[in-house]
Amino acid sequence: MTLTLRALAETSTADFTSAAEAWARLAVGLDNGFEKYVAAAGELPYVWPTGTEAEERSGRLRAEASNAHEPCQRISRALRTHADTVRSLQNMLADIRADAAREGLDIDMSTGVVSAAAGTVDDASDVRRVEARIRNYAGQLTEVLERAYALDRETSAELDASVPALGSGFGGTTGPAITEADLATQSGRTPAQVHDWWESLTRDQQDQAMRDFPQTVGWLDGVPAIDRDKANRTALQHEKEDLIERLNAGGSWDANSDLNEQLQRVYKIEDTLKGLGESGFLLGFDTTAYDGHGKVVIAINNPDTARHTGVWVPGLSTTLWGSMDDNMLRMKSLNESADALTRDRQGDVSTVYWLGYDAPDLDNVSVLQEDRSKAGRDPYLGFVQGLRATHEGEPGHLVAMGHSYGTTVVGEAAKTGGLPVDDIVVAGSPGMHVAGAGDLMADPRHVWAGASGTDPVAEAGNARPWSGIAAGIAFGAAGPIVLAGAEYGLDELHGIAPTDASFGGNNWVADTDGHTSYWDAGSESLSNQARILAGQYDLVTLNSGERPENVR
Amino acid sequence: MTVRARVAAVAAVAVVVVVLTSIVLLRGSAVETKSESEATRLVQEHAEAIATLVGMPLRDPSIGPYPCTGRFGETGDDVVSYRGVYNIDPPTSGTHLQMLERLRADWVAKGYTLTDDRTVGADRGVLTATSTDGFNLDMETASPDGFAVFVHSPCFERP
Repeated sequence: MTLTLRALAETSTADFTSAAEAWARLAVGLDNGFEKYVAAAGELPYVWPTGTEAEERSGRLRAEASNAHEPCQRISRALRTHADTVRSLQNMLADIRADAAREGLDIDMSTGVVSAAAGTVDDASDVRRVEARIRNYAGQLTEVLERAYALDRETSAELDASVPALGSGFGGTTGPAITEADLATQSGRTPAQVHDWWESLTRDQQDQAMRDFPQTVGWLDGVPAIDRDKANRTALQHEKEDLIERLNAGGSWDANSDLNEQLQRVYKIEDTLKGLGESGFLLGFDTTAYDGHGKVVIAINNPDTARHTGVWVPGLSTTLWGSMDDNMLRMKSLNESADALTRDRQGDVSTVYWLGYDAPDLDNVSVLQEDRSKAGRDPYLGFVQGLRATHEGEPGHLVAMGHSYGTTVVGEAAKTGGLPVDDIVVAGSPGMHVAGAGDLMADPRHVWAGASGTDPVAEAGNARPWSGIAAGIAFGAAGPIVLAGAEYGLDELHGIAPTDASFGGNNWVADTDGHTSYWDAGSESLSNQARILAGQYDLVTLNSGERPENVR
Repeated sequence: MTVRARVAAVAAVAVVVVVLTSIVLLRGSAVETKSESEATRLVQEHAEAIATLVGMPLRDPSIGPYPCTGRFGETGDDVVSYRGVYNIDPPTSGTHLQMLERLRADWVAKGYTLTDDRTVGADRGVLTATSTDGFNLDMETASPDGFAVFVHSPCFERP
């Protein structure tokens, strides 16, 4: 078949995306059916001890059903990659056409021939210049078409490879059971290596690992979000049943009080997931971590299929139970705003609430120290690297986001050089443990910081007028000096605020008041964060800095 | 004028000032009470007015309540703003900037206060305004084309 520029331009990527989603749903449906079958067939040896042949056939059927899951997922991934790449080629083609039109050149979309529009060439020197430009555009168009042909071949090959062999179907054997030792081995490997290992397992093996070691699999960076979610929901259900059983068994008031509080944290996660419906993904939880302050990672929309994903780290005094509702509302608001800016596909933005570290407390001086940001660094790095490894199709636009002390965790992770993100967005940051944006990203135009003019965390001087008056009352004429000293102290502790002009990144306009309102509905603060998350940089309002090219 | 008369006059003026100030403050501080269905209807009406001007229907609607703070610091579970988020497909005739221009003219004619008005690319822009009934309206070009529309109501108190 001959592929023309017109065919490329008019190809509906939405059709491929819909097909990819349908295959993904089929994979999930097979998985759910498989779970039911395993549960039902597990009784077979007990109710029919002599039915060895039936048991053997049941085993083969179980293996084949398990093995059908992976090809469905492969087809889904291939179609999603196809859609993403076609969209990218269409954007390239549109850019070439626009550039050519500006130079008075026509492109025949059926033949690919580039020609000068009548009346655009005046003399002989113009002819040579125009001929050179025509050759240049013809070369660019040829490259686009060659990439389209290559994509066509790759997608066809992937689809062919996923069709079962005649006679043997999807195969009636599966691998050995996954042990705790197998999983322990993975903890020392990179998320990309873990992903390769996970993908090398049969679905039967993956399901068995998720059933037998749900919380371990649920935290394993490199395991796809859909499987982490499944494992974590299983672990959450087990924990709830266990806690209820222990509470019903009686015990001391103290012990029961702790168990009851832990159960409330389980319910908090359950309620949050219920509120999110199908868009919620539980990517990690620990209700006992840090004396019950807890850890939790929840995504709105699947980060493995989203085109834009933001991983947001909260700040001071955040706990699993106490801060969940407000922070999930922030994630929802951010998600909706960014998703509306990518009109062509709904649900292609994922926002991840990442409370994977021990946020500082209000009743001690931990907020003035670096320990907790340093302790949060590796878990955050691992999680974000895991998202890079598990993303389907074209690499997604990945954004590290943080608020307040959470921005110091982002800073610690980014300054290692191993945080694989495309943008960093922070709000109300006290400093990020670096001297400048260039220490966080190779291109400082992709570091974006915003702070309200009344946020004392970002700049102690912003605490005026109230703290200015208070400082004046407390210290008299020395009040301004005390405030300046406080700012110097904060800079000494966490480094210069990233909103400072000398930091070298972009300073987005924050029109909200104080330290905790950056996600208020209808605010420029929220809009600007959403615009960056959606890669629509030209829409961002800046106090200072330089916008890079939009994400296409 | 006697001293007593002067004192009486000053007192009268003071009372009038206090009464007027109280009226203004009370009127300003009261967060209007509105049911969710009524507030949602108003959000939808503003969005539909935008879509009618652009000549394309609203897509992917999402309307819901969000916490807010009233002008005088009123907060609480029942003090909420309603937010509508929509998409509009690219115009079938005319450019995106022409649609923004049409909207700008309409909003100005209605007495709305423009709060942001930017052209950011060859055919991309942002237009935001506050309507006379206090709604925050925002239309900006989306990727790869078309528009994102955001409508935020003022703070309302649930009945």
